[in-house]
Amino acid sequence: MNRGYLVVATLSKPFYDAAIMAIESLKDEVPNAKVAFYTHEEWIEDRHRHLFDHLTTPVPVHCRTKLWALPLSPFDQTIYLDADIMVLSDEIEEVWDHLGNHDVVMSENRPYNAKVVYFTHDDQVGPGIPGRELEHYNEDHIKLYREGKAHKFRWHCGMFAWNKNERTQKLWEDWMYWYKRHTVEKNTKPFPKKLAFWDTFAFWRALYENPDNNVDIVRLPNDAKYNFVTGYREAELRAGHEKAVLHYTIPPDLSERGNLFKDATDIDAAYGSFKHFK
Amino acid sequence: MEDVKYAKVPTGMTIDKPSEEPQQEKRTTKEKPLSIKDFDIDPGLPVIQYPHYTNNARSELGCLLIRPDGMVVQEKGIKADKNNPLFRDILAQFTEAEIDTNTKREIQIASSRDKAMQSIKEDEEREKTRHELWEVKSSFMDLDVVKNSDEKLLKRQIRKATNYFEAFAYGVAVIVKESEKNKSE
Repeated sequence: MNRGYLVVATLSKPFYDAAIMAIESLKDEVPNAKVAFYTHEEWIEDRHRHLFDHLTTPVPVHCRTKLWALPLSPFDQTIYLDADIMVLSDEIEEVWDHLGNHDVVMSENRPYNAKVVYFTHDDQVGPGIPGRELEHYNEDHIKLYREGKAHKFRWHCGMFAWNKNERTQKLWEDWMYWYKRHTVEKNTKPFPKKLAFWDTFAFWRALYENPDNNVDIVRLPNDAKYNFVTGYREAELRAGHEKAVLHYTIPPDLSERGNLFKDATDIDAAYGSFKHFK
Repeated sequence: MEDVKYAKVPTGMTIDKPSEEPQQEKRTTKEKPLSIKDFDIDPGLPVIQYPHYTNNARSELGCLLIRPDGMVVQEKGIKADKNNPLFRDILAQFTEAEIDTNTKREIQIASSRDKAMQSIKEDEEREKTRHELWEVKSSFMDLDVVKNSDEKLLKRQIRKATNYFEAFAYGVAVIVKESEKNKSE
């Protein structure tokens, strides 16, 4: 069984720079780690080529090219890493043990550190009441969730591991289907329009709409250790554990400046396009 | 006058007096509307709107002046001096209670604006800090001397750093270590 890490950097150049730092950090900590990298040919520098064990170009110029890349993973077991992470210890390799025979292992969103976690769909709270995003700090909103009148994005989609099988391949296909439905067809009904941008929403929906897929998806034990997102409380880490993966965010002004479609008139630069390959 | 007709109720049956319909709750408000002064205006002069005090000493006011052509001018620094014709006009047209209410509203607006600006400023500062941290980390990590260094712990500290100075210090530490190694070789 072969296993490796999958990293994607597309649409905006700073994501490539970040991905290089991420892969270098991984290879510093886990020198024999195998990396499959998906990016645009024009960004690749020769001095970086030694970092990639599998390099795929051209790829869609889109901010969510990862959805396109996931089913193409060359590995039987894969850990997906967002480009804006730093591997801080070889304990990232513990994720393989946690994955075991599960289909997918993921970390959970922390509502206090996420832009959107709770939301409702049209008519869920009452007839004629449109779906909306909810606030984690609003007691009434949390009450709705507890009463089963709201939904929650449970899974953080910036770092996860999976076994390649029929169920996970179907899950990636569904994820892409719902993401395109939300962003290309611009149809989020009966859910709020504002959720469209978030791939966590499409992922949640892929699971919500396909319960028969029976994906065995579990939470990584001590998940903050493997995906410690900037803004998390240090107390999220269990005593005696250090962060194995730090997940920061690329400054938005940088990613806007480096966007390949920043001057395009027919393409929304915030998303990019699944039809354009580079 | 119509004849009054009576009907006998069958034995054993009673007719209950209908209960009184609940009276509609009267709309009450604790706040009484402000009284308006009775005044005349010169149609050739601007209409005074929204006079309010602009300092704690209540010695200066501000207001809006709507000119006959519709142009609105914001007037500031009006001395609360009865020799000042604009102040005299304000006093002629507005009660002290009206001016106080406007002043309270102005204070509320300023306070809300301050709060919003503070939040924007905090966001900007957070972004700036993140940007600087990214720049310093990526700059050091892109240097060949750091990239090729086997000082794993120090490189990890650069990556882990949560502020500019921490990242900078560990970046310099890697360079110093590597330079010492080169000297000893």
